[in-house]
Amino acid sequence: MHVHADSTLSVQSLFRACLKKDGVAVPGSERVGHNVMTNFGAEWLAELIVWQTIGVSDVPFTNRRVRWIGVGDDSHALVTESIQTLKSAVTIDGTLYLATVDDSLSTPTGPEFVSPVWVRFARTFDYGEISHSGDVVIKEAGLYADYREGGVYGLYPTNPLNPVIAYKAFDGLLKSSAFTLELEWSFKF
Amino acid sequence: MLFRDDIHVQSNVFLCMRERGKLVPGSTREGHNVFTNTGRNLLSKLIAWKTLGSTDLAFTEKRLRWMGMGSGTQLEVANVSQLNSPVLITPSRYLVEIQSTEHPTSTTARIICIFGVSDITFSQGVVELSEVGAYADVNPADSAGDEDSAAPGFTTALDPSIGTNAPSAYKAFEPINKTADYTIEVRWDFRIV
Repeated sequence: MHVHADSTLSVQSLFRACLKKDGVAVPGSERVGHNVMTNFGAEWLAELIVWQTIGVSDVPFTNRRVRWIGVGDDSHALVTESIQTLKSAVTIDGTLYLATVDDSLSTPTGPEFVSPVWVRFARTFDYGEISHSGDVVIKEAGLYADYREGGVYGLYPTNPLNPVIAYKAFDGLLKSSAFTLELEWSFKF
Repeated sequence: MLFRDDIHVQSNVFLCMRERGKLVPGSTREGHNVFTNTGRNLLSKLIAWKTLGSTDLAFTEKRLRWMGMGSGTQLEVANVSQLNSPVLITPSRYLVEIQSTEHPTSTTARIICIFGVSDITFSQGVVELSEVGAYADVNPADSAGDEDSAAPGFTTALDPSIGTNAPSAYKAFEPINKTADYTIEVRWDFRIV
């Protein structure tokens, strides 16, 4: 007889958003909770873990990895895994709808490994980002998998309709040029 | 309402022996298995970029690439670090390459490995098998350089000639007796739900 344990790997994903002023959290601005991994995200993960062909030189199905975060000023009424894009993406700087998860304002920069099986992505939007043309109420966020090779992206950062791998809707946060917006997305395998 | 607020990776192993293509009665084994800490570590590294730039740099390029079998057994828990009693597949290798990959659904990855009549039982006789592991790796030919060098806990390419490699997924099962008359077919599904 064999004893079976841990037969299903449950990946805990957690989202956190917070406004800050001069580095101090704005009271009442923290949003924390689970989120939804979209069907597109599940398909991406199923392709990521295996080789398409194994031979003289192995070929992957996909080389996309978590690369971008985007936010929107509306949210889907029904949050399900069939969500494909943000409902109403807003630009970060007037042109780009996607911001890298690796930026100098995040602490620490780039992905952080809380433990060997726990990875956290973070992005801090600066005072002038998102609210570059005035105040914006942020109600949704999405995570994107992509690559950059030879300067070329797979997704189109100037397009508001890129497919999200994970999605979170939350009570609105008023992003003005007086605040920074800190987003964190973690996955514990 | 229910939605996918946590991600689940359900893995399931099916294996059987065949004699000239026909299923050997009583040789089918099927069931869930365990994703080891090595596998969990792999997943956390695999989804992230190490650095972003003109050409992004990954923490790891490893993906499921090998299978190995053994004649021992152990508790199916996350800290399984090697097969309990690995057996040689060929006279010099404990691991063989996965032959093919399928996606039976868009969110399921299936790796398939067929152990031939002379695999494992290359010295004739009978070999009792009761455990199997799936291993993530890069192509050994591509492993030169700094592959995984900045990822603690990772080594470079695995060495198929040793039996102590760490599997990403592990399954123990009721023993089957492999002879040179039989092939073994292993199908391993990873379903993201």
